[in-house]
Amino acid sequence: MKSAYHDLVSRVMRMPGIRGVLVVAVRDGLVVDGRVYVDVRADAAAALAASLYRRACRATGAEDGQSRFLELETDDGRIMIAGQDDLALMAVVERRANLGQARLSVQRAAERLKSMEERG
Amino acid sequence: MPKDRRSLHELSAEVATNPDSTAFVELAAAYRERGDLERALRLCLRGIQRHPTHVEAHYELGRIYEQQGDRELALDEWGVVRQLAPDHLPTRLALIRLYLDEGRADDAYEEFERARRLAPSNGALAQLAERVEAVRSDRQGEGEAAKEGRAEGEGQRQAEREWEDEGRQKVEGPSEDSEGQREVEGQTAEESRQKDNAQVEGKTIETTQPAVDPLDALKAEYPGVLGLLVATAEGQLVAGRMTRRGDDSDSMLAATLVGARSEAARVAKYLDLGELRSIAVESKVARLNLSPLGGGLVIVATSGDIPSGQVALIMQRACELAEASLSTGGG
Repeated sequence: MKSAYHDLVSRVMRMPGIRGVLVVAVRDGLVVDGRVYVDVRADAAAALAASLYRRACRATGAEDGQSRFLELETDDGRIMIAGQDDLALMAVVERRANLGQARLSVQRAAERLKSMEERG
Repeated sequence: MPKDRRSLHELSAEVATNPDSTAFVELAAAYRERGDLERALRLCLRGIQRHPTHVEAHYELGRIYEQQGDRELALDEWGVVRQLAPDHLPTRLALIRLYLDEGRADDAYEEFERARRLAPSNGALAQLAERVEAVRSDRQGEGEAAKEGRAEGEGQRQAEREWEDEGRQKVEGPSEDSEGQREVEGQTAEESRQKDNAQVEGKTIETTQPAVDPLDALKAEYPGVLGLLVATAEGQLVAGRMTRRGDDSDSMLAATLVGARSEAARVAKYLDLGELRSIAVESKVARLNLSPLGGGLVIVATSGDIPSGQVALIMQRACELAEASLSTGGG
């Protein structure tokens, strides 16, 4: 059965160079939905990424409801996380990906995630 | 408390002679118990960089944060323990206590139930049962208690938010008088940081001041720069300024972000993405950029409307200035 986030995840996954997309509960780091290639250790990474996202939000003084975009650059790719208080979208991006498009895609998906949260 | 607990001297000697030793956890606990939270924090953060999945180290770091009054950071660390070792009972107990203190009845109850499944006959858990039930039965009061708990940390977090306020207001900088005064205060604080660093590292270093303030130099070249901090691997602030409240809140921010660097490196490792190069946190009005520098970290706040390409140049220049600052005595 498709989850509520299936379309949203699929849309980001269609971008060239995206290795995985996860919808993560910010509070406890649990993966709510997502799709990743087999070599991605999603659960452990999501838990740490959620903790990192919370820390980043605190450090930058995010109030309730304010969004943040977090990007980690590494030797072999990037991790982009965007979201709000409850849910965040995390994408694992390869170096070959078009960064501008990837950022836009993740940010738009996070906005849709927010709308879905608000609609309940 | 174990009877064969080693002395501070023995533990310090082991940590100093063997950087890979995990004795840093015990040493940090000893410092924490003596009230030397800053030293305990530095040790733990440094140790976790070498041992990122050490359960007891994360648990201890949570206890240090809790004792410092930063419950949210404590929760974060214990959340990491929960992921690494779901059956770590001390963490479960600590979480229950913290949730109770914050009036988070449902969270306390959930955690309590999980802990009870892990250790049904645990004495400490039995002692907490009454408190958990009492808080749960008072639904009306719990909401207000939670608000109070959050309000306690709010003042502290307010300081960390100021870099963003600067972004909104596009402030040119403090008045000349306050700037001058801060320079004097900054020098004193910087001297003491250097001495502290030297003690920790067991080295003697010169305490001459950097010829050029790295933040002033960076701002002169790039007007969109709002703040700069240079921190050691242990989260110790060695140069720069960011928030208008000065050293204390800058130090707190540096320690938080050095922790973020460590977590980011672990995320990259889990995803087989190689070494971490940089971190950026963007809001609508400002952007916080973090670049590793040796074992430490360079943190630059810029206004949100600066293009990514220019941010890369700013970070490159910030790292050069930070290195120059460190080599002329900034740490």
